[in-house]
Amino acid sequence: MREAAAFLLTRSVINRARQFRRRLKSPRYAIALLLGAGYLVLIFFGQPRADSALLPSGTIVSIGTLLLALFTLKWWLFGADRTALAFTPAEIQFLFPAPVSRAALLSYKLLRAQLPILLSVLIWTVLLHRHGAASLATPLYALGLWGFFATVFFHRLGVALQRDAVAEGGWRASWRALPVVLAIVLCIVITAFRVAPPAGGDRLAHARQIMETVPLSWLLWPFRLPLLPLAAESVAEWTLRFLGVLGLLLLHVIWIVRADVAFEDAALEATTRRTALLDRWRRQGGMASLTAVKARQWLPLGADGHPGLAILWKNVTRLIRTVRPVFPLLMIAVMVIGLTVGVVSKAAGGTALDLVAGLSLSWAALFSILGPQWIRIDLRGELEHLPLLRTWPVSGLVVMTSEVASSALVLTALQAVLAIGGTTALLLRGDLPIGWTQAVVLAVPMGLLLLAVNVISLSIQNGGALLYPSWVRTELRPGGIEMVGQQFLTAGASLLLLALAVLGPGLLGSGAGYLLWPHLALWSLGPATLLAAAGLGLEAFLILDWLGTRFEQFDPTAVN
Amino acid sequence: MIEVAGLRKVYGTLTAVQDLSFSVAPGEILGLVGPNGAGKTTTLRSLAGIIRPTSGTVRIGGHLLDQDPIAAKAMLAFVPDEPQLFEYLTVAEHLAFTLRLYRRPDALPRVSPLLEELELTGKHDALASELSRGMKQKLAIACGLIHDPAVLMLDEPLTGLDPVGIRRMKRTIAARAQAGAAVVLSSHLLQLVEELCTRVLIIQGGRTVALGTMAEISAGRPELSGRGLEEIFLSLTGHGEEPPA
Repeated sequence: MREAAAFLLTRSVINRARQFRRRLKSPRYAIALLLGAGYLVLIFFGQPRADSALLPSGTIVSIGTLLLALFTLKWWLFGADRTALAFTPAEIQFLFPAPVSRAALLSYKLLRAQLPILLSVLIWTVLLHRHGAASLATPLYALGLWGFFATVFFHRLGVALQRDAVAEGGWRASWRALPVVLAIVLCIVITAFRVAPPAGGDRLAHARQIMETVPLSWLLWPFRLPLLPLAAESVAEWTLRFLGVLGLLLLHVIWIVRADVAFEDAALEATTRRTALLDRWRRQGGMASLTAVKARQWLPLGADGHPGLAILWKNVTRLIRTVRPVFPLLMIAVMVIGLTVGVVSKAAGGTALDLVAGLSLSWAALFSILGPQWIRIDLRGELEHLPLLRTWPVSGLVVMTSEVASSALVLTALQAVLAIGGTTALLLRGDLPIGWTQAVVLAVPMGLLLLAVNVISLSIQNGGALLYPSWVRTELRPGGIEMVGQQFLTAGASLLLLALAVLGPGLLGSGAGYLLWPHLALWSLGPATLLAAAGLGLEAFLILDWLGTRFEQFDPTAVN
Repeated sequence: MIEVAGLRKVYGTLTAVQDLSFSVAPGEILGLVGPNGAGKTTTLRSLAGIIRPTSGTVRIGGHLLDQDPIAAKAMLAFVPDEPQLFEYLTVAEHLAFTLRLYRRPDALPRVSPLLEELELTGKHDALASELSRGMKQKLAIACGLIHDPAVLMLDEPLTGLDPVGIRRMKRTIAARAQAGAAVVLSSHLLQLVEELCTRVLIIQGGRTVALGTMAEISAGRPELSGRGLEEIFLSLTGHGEEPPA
């Protein structure tokens, strides 16, 4: 197995390097890589801001200890994230039926995990050194980080292996762990009583002091150990502490390799989950999650009617059945509570209205820029179904309009709810130069304008998917530095095109508003906005018509 | 019903299909066979309007596919080898959606009998993501049949089906042809092709190797007389010397 594992790992690295070199010959890839690398260089090596210094090493160790303890508690009580057990589908196919012992499989898993661990070490070494959080020589600091990340991964893997025995029973098993939780809470309370709060009121120092006082310090010691080398002041101190970490790692390796737990089923399940997640990332983008599709019932589709509406219905159904409605419900709840408090309570009303106005309007603005990237119930989410779409007896214009309209309507509805909430809050505060009647009347043209801008913006995004599908797919796939560069390029180009598209209708609307202002004052916003929306609508129609023609000529096999 | 003339599809320097001409009459089942990479899928995709041929014409029910694609596509159904379904729609919703796309509300009463025919009755409200591979294949076929197409194109339609499903599917295909549909069936299962198809088109390297009934194909080749499709296929594609399995 050792030879086979070494062969697999080395050949994988070499072949990836070759593939990377081949890709560099493509100007598109090379430009994206350059941009991505430039951005990362700027982040890692650029001039740090004066206020960007991180916390001192001691504080970082304390925070790290606490987080590690909390995560470990969570893993033991509720089960570790089982993706720690995931292999690749090819590894499952070749290694699992092969005459290889479980111990050998786990040894391979530990060895293979070194690649992502080393990448994390590289990133964090650069970051922490750049921000002055590390006083040790870089190689020693990097080794210390490696010890920490390796211990965390090994422990997570170990817990995932043991999960069947501890927390497979879900909440019932968690209840059984109640005495452990109570003991920990008791330990924290006893320690907290023993430490008097500092005179200056420095809460961070107080918390650190509690963590370093017996009996809590004893409880936290195993979690502090992997972090101790990072706070060493000398090479001798580092060496001693690092040896401790190596000892801990060795114990973990023995624990894992000798576990002799039948982990194959769990590994298969974890692999399937991870593969599904990667697949969804590739298809849906970074917002994808492993949320199971649920057959939530909503508006049924009748057999009679326009096919375009059926496509729109299908896309909205996808949203309803694949996205948890937590965020919109939370958003509406915050807004309703804020507005209610604003109206009912005079004392807290101002603050609540400020909060609603600030949150709602800033989120509405954020959706204007990032919404077209986030909401993808359109052609971008259908790339795998393109051959099927081409068999439908529907014109390209109908397909493109329905696809773009799906995302545009949802995005506009979200923005409208936010804008209505924010505007209501401002009106209640009396911060707007218009009254309720004007606000209600102007809401209609404003909504149309918003919809028109969103249609244009989403047409650009969908046009990109249609004309340059490989760019969109690469953008969605979890990838490396080149993906960052591609995102910059596509986002920059999209914003530029949107600005160009909005310019003409914007000038038209502004001109109309300027001419009408002496006669209609604030009411002139209505016809001016309508005119701009009409201009944008015409542009949107022309763009969609053109994209429809391109869709009819498009070769879906180019995507693959 | 299907008329193909001089069909050619070029990808860069690769000519996937060249000068393919054939026709399929109503009630006929044409078997499309060929070795891997012969151009079968490209041919079917060209006929279904998924890809545009580099040259040549495709007529579906008299409508030129490149000039009147909507009318042509409204008459045909293409069932690919890998079922293309929306994982977030239920079985019934897939069918309702297809009826809307093909503007066939009159076919709504056919939903229940079709689901029964394809053994999907119990899965009416199941999401596509909850179906097994075989059930997905049946649903894809149901979506292809619900609007009663005059032209049916099937790419490996039996993949993933159990023996009972295979038998039913064969009956379904034959019944559609008897009802007047023109069927193109692409498969590597030569026994299936021999059993169901009225004519066979063998292609290799994107070119026609043979076209006609079994008798017509072996007519000019006495050595193939009385042989089965497997032997004819192997002989015509240059693998005739290989010993039988």
